[in-house]
Amino acid sequence: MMNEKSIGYTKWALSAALVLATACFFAFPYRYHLYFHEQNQLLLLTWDYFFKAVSVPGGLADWMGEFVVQLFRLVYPSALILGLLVGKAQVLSARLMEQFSGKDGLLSWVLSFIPAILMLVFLVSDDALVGGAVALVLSISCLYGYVHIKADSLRRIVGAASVFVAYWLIGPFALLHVAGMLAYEIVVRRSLSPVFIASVVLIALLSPVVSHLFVPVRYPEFFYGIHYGRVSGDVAWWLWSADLLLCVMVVLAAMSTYLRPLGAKMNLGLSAVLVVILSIVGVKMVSSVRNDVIERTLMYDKLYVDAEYDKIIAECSKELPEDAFTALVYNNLALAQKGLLLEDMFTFPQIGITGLLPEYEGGYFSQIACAEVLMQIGFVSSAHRLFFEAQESVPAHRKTARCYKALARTNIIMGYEEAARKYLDALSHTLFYKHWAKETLALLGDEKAIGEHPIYGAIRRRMPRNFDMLFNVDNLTRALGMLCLENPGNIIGIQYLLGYCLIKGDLNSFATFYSSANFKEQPRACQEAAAMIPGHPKATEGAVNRFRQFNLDIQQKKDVSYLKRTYGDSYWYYYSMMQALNAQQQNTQKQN
Amino acid sequence: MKRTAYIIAAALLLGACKGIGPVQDTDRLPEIFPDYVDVTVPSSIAPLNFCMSDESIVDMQVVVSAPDGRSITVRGELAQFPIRKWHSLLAASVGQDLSVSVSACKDGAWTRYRSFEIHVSEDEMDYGLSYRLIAPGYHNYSMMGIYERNLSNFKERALIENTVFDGCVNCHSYNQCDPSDMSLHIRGEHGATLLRIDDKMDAYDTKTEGSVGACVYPYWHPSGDYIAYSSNSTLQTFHVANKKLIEVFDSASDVYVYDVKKNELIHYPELSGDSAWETFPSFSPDGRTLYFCKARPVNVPLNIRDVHYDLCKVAFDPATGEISGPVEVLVEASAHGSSVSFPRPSFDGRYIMYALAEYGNFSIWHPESDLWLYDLQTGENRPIATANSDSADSYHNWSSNSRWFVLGSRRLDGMFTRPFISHIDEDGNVTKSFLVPQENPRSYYRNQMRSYNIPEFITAPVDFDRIKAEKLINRPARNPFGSRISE
Repeated sequence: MMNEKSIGYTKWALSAALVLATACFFAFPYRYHLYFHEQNQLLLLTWDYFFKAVSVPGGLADWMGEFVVQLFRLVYPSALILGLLVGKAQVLSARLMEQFSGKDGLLSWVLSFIPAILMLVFLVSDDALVGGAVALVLSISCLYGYVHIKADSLRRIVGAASVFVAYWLIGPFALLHVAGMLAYEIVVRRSLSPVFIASVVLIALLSPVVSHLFVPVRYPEFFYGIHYGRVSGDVAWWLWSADLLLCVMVVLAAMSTYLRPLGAKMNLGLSAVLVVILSIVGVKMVSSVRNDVIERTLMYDKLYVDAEYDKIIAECSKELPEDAFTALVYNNLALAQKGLLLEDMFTFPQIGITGLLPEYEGGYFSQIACAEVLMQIGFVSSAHRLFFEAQESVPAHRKTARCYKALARTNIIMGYEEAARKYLDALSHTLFYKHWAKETLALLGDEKAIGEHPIYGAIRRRMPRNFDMLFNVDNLTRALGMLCLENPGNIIGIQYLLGYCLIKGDLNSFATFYSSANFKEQPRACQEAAAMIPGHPKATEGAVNRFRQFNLDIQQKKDVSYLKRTYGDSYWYYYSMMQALNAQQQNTQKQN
Repeated sequence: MKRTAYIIAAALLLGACKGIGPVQDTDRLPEIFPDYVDVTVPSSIAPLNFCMSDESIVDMQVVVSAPDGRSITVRGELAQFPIRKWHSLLAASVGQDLSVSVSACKDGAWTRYRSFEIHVSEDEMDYGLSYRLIAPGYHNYSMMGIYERNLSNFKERALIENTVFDGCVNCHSYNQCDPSDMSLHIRGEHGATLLRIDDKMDAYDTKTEGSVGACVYPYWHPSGDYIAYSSNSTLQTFHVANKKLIEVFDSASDVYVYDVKKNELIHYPELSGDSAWETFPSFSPDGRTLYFCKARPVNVPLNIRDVHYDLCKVAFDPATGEISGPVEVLVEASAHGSSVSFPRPSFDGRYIMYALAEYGNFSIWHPESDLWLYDLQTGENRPIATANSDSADSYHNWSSNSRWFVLGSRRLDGMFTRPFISHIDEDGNVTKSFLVPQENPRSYYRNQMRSYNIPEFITAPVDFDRIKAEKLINRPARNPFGSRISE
C-alpha cells in the first residue's frame, strides 16, 4: 500500500501531467489556436485602456486575460502559461476541498481535476476568452483566501465586504463562491450567523442589479458574465459547469466529514479508476470541441503574414482538406507572389472562384484572406473595406491588432496618412507591435520613402490610376482587365486576371487578355488554355498536341483515375471536371 | 518632514518661475491643432485647448489676454486652460477679442509667433451637442451609441449604446434643439423607433402598408404634433479607386408625415410612388412648409452618377396634416449636375443650409461635398466658403437661436467625421469653423476611432431613461404606426 509520501508524489505527478499535457497540446497540435486568440484582440498598454476595461464587472479578469493573450505570439511560453493556468485551477480546487473536508486524500485530489479539465475544454473552444479562465482561477483563489482567515469575525467581515469588490473585478463567478463561503461557515465552521448570511446574500443579489444601473450592458450578462466568452450574450457553459461542479464538490467535501472515511485501498482504487475515466473523457471532450478547420486556416494565415510563401505551397502540396478553401486562397496568393500562379495553380485541386477570391460577405478570416488578395492585386480601397468589415465583425465590439495593422497599411497606401497615424498610434501602445508601429510612423509624411517602400510603394504602383468603377464580383473580370490595361507592369494583377478567367472557364476573355499579356516564358496553364482556343496565336505546339491526346483519351472514355493521374495537374482536367459538375448541377436542377 | 516640504515648495517655485529663455520673434502665425486662429466662439465654450501641429514641439507658452488686461498663461506640450479662469476671461470679453500669444520651443530655440485673435460672440450657444459615434464603416458595425456633450466643459455622456441590445442605433432627432421630444431609430434584430413625447417613451413599428420600409431621417414639426420621415431602401456599393471609397444610395424612397396625436403615418401620393425619389424631409420653422430632396429615379448602382437630388418644397397645413399646392423646386441642383442632401432650415426662417455633392445623397462619403446656404428672403444661393474644406463637409444643423451651426467634416484625416462649429451673423456672414474643443484635443481625436454622425445642438441635457429604453428595445412588442392616405 502507498504511504503518505508516495501519495504526495502521485498527486504532484498527476498535476504535472495535466500541466504538461495542456502545454503540449497548445504548443504542438493546436498551436495556431494561440495565434487565433492573439489575433483577435488589441490590448493597449495605457491607463485609459485599463480603466475602461475595469469599468465593467469582470473587467480586471478580462484585462488580465488579454495581458496573457498578448504573449501568445510566443508559442511555447504561452502554451506553458495555459498549462499552468489549468494546473492552478486544479491545485486550488484540491486545496479548497481539503480545507472543506479536513482531509487530503488522493481521491479528492483526483476529483479536483474535473473543474480543471472543463476549463481546458473551454480554452480549446473558439468562443473562449482567456479572461474567463482567469476569472475562474481568481474566484477560486478568493474563496481559498477566505477560508484561510482564521479569526471568525474578521473572516466574515472581510467576506461580506469583498463580495461586491470581487464581483466587480472578476464578475459573477465571484457570486457563486458566496455559496462556498456560506457552505464553509455553515457546514465546516458550524456557525449560523443570520447577520452574516443575510448581508452576504443581499450583497450578492444586489451586485448585478446595482451594476446594471451604471453600466450599459444587457441585464442578463451581469449574471452570467460580460467577458467570459468571446460572443456577447453567449454563456460560457464549460466554465460555468466547472464553477458549479466545484461548488458542489466543496459542499460535498464539507459534508463528507459526517461520513465514515473510505479505506485506503478503496480510496486508491477509486482514484485510479477516476484517473482513467477523466483522461478518456477529457481527451474526448477536447477532441469534440477543437476546430481543425479554423486551425488550418490560421496556419495558412500565419504563414502568409510571415511571408513564408514556400511553406504555404509545401503545406498545400500535401493532401488538401476539402474544407480548407482559405488554404487554397493563400496558396494561390503565395504562387502569385512568386510569379507562379499561372504556372502551377492547376497542380493544386482548384475549387472555383472561392479558392482564388473568397466570399466578400463571409466571416472574419474569409474577409481577411480576400482583403489580402485584393491588396496585392492593387484594389486597395476594396481591401481596406474588407479589413474594416472584418474589424467590425469581431465579437463583443473588440478590436484586433491584425486589422489595425492592415488598416494602417491600406491608409498609407491610399494616401490617408493622418488616418493611418491613428492606427499606428494605437499599435505603438502594444507590446509586440510597437516597434513596427514606430518604424512605420517615421515613414509618414515622407512620400519618397513610402514610394520606395517594398510593400507600400509596390502596391501603390499596382493601384488604379485613372479609372474608377463600382466594384462587385460580377464585374471583377472587367475591373481586373482595366487595372492591367492601365498598368501592364502589375504582374500580380495580370496573374489574377488570367487566373480568374481560367477558373471561371471564361476562355473568350482569357483569349483577349492573354493575347496582350507579355510573359518571358508562356506559363503552363496559359499554354494549356490557349491550346483549347482554335487559332490562338500563343498556343504552343506541345500543348496543342497534348490537348489532342487528352481529347482522344476522353473520347475513348478512359477511366477517371487514369485521367487524373495523367492530366490531373492540367487546366484541361480542371475545365472538364468543372463542365461535368455544371452539367450535373443543371440536371439536378431540372429534375427538381 | 518639514524639510521635505520646503524642498518640494522650492522646487515648485523654481519650476513656476522657469523662464522660456531668449525668444526669436516671427511674423508667422503659429500652426496649431486644432486650428483656432481667428475663430469666433460663444462665451460659454469650453477651453479651446490646443497644441502645436508640429508634434516634435513639446514645450510652448501661451498667453491669452482679454481686453480688460486680464490674462491666462499656460505652459507645456499642451495649452490647457483652467476652466474657471477661461470662462471668466470669456465672460469679460463678450463682443470683443481675446489675444493669443504663442511661443514654442523647438530644438532648444524659442520662437514667439504673431498673436492671433479669438472673437467672443455676443450670441449665445446652446447647452451642448447630441450625436452618434460610429466607426466609419460599411456593412458591419461594432460599438456605437448616441451621446451628448456639454459644450461648456468636456463632459460627454452616453444616452444609449448598442451594448444593451443587438443592433444599430441611428436617426436621433429633437424638436428644434429641445431634447424633450425625441425620435430614435433602432435597426437590426430589435428594430424599432423609440418616440418620447411628453415624457412618455414607447417603441413603434413604423413600417406601414404601402411604405417603402421603416421610417428614418426624422424631422419634428415645430408644434410637436407631427414628425416628417422618409422611408428609404438604402444600399451600398464600393469604388475600385480610392478617391471615393463607398456609395450609399437609395433605390426607392418616399416622404411621409407622422401625426403624433392620431398615431397615423400620412401617405401623400405627391411624395410617394415610383416616379421620383423623395428623401430628407424638414419643416420650416413656422410649420407651414415641408422641404425635402427629390430625384429622378435611375438604374442604380449602374447609373449612380446620374442621381441628382433637387431641393423642393410643398405647403403643409398643420391643422390637418395635409399638403397642398404644387411641389416647387427651390434649388435645381440637377440642372447643374450636382445633388442636394440634408436641407436644414434655420429656426429664424431666414436660410436653408444643405450639403451639395456631385451626385447621390450620402454626402459624407463624397470628398467634394460642401455646405451651401440658400437665403429664403433674397433667393441668394452660395457655398459657405469659410466653413467648407477640401474634404467632405456634410451633416449640419442649427443652434436654437440660428446663430451657430454644427457640421460634420472629414477635413482632419479624410476618413473620420469630426464636429465643427461656425457662427453666422444677422447679415449672413459665416466665420471660420472650429473643431469642438476637447481637454486634450490631439490625443482625444487621434484615439477616437469613431466618427461623429448627425451632430445636433441641444438646449439642455437629454433626460433619457436608458434602463427603460433597454427594456423597450429588447421586448418584442411594438406599437404599430397607423396609416392613412392623404386626401
